[in-house]
Amino acid sequence: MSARLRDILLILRHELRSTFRDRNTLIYAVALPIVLYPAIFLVVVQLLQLQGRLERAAPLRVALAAPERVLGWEDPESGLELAEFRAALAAQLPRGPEGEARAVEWKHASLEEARREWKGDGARAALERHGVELLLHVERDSSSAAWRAQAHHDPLALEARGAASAWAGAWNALRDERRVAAYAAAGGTAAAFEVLAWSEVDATPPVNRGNRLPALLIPMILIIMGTIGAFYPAIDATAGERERGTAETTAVLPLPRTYLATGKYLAVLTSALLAFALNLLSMWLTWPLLRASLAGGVEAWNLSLLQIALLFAIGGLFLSFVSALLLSVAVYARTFKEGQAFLGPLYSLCLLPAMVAAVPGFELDQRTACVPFLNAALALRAIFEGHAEQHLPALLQTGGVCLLLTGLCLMLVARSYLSEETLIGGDSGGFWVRWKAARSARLPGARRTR
Amino acid sequence: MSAAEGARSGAIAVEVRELVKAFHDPRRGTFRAVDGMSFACRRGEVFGLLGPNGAGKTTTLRVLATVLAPTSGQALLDGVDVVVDPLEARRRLGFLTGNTGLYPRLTGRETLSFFARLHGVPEERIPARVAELSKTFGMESYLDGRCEKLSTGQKQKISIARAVVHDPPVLILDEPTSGLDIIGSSAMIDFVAARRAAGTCVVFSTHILSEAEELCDRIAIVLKGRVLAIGTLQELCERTGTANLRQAFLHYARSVEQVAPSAGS
Repeated sequence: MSARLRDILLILRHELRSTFRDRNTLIYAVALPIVLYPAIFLVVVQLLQLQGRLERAAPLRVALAAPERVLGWEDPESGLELAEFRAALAAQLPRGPEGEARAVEWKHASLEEARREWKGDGARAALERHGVELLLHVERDSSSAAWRAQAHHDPLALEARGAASAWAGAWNALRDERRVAAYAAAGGTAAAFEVLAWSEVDATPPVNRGNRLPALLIPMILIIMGTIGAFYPAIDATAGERERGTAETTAVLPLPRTYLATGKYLAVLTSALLAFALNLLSMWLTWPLLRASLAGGVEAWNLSLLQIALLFAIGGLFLSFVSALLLSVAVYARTFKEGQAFLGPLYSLCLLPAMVAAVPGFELDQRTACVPFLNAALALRAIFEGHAEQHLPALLQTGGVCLLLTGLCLMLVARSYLSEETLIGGDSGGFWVRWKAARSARLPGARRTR
Repeated sequence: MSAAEGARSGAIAVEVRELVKAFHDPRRGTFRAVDGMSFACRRGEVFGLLGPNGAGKTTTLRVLATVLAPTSGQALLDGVDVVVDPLEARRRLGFLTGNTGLYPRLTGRETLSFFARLHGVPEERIPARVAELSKTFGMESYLDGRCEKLSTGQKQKISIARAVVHDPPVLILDEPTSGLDIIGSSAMIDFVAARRAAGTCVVFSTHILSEAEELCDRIAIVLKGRVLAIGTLQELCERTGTANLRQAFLHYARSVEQVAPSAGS
């Protein structure tokens, strides 16, 4: 092993030891990914289940305004009696998970009231007066002879959420049932209604179907959590060192400043990569929990080894850039608090493009591959969706952009880390001031510490 | 050459020639914190920079320790130019100031081992060296505790051990007793005396006259970035016709105050 590598590894080991004994780093890089997703998923699932239980337990309250006999076609008297109509309509409502019928609390309203008052603000007043979530006005149209149902409800009212669609579904189902019955009575067969059947086929290859939802969510989460993994170590390694009074201790170590900066950078990158890997692993392990709870709603992930390798390649290159970026800014902070003040807004600003990647319509191409953060989020999404081969040039471009930006940021770090300005806050005045000072005293020119 | 041999031979260990360090300040413009300072000290000698706050002592020591780069002039550590070969200069240096803190999340043993490794102490010798220092400074009971949990006195001992773990020929101490209680200060004074006996060149800055009187073989009186006088306590008193260091220091300080207005006019 060369002396240079040995020295850098010594600094890296020292920094890792120090970094992972820091409570903040441990929380954000290790504990949070392990605990956060199971906790979030459990809470979300419990809340959804609780909401479902509460909705099913509470009766649907509806005020019905309808004639005495409903849904008769040729002869109005052939229709259903009002009580039969209520029972038939309620029977079409969606049932609970164990097949239990939904309870309905019927209120009566006159047709006169519906015609006269259930308009504009009057409908809202009627909802409150009857104490219901929905006003249902059923009446035969005098010109077309068709039976029309009109539902009045407040879409913003929490208790009415889902009621309108449930009643619409029930109405349509009852309508179809009545049509079939009428057709059968005229000598037709129920099968004749199937000639206009509609079906949908999923065009996504079955192997990638389970990755659609993760592809929208997980790249953004990985970028956010990977960046947080680098956030605290970057401040701790620079501003934290100055605040603790160990910067000068480090400055007199018999190593070039570039070695010291490299060791610190690698420690920050290690923390970011650990956060990235643990987040991915944690989400993969907890996803089945979400699937099991939301029966049939969420499919399983299916990542090939190539996809996993590509995720880590792009994720690694992206985090190498993020680590260098955060370090290049934190190096100017004098205290931990100042470091947080510098990096906080930068962090928020940088994550905006990553969030845009969750918006449908944005794709990885040669233009988006040039936008930092957006490119990584879109690249991770393309890999998740199984489209990596189609986007190979843009993926390579994303990697190249990350590498280029990493290099630029590291140049800034190497220039500023433990410089006089950042170390003691002293300003030697830049080249011109030093040159003028030297010239006025007929002394040799400016020098820099190494 | 070992430190003890160096002391016997009286070899020059630290040499500063016409050192200038300028800073830029938005209000004051460019100013010289160190303005043409020169001195030399030998192995086995304790050399004190005595001056008030802002005299340029810390800046001079920081240039010697390669923390700052000189604007002009030359500083040599054990014959090594601190600008030409700063890494070699750092290898020959033990640096201890109020600003050279300990890594709080490392134990004392980890700290000493880390510095020993980076200063090139052979791997197989490190445990023995750490044990030796631990015994010398009486640190056995807390050497494996994290530095952040140690008392001020315990931290000070580990800091001293850290500075000498590689047995450097030159030791630079910047106001080493600042912030210490009587026991801590006494321990530091004992330590400096011990290093002198071992042949180390000790350069230290202070504004405490009694410390300088007690410890220093020679004293440089520093004011406004310049060395006003260098000599033993006896020489300084004889030259100024005063009875003690305080009076000698005030004599030089007043001479500068008298010169300054006339220079300005």
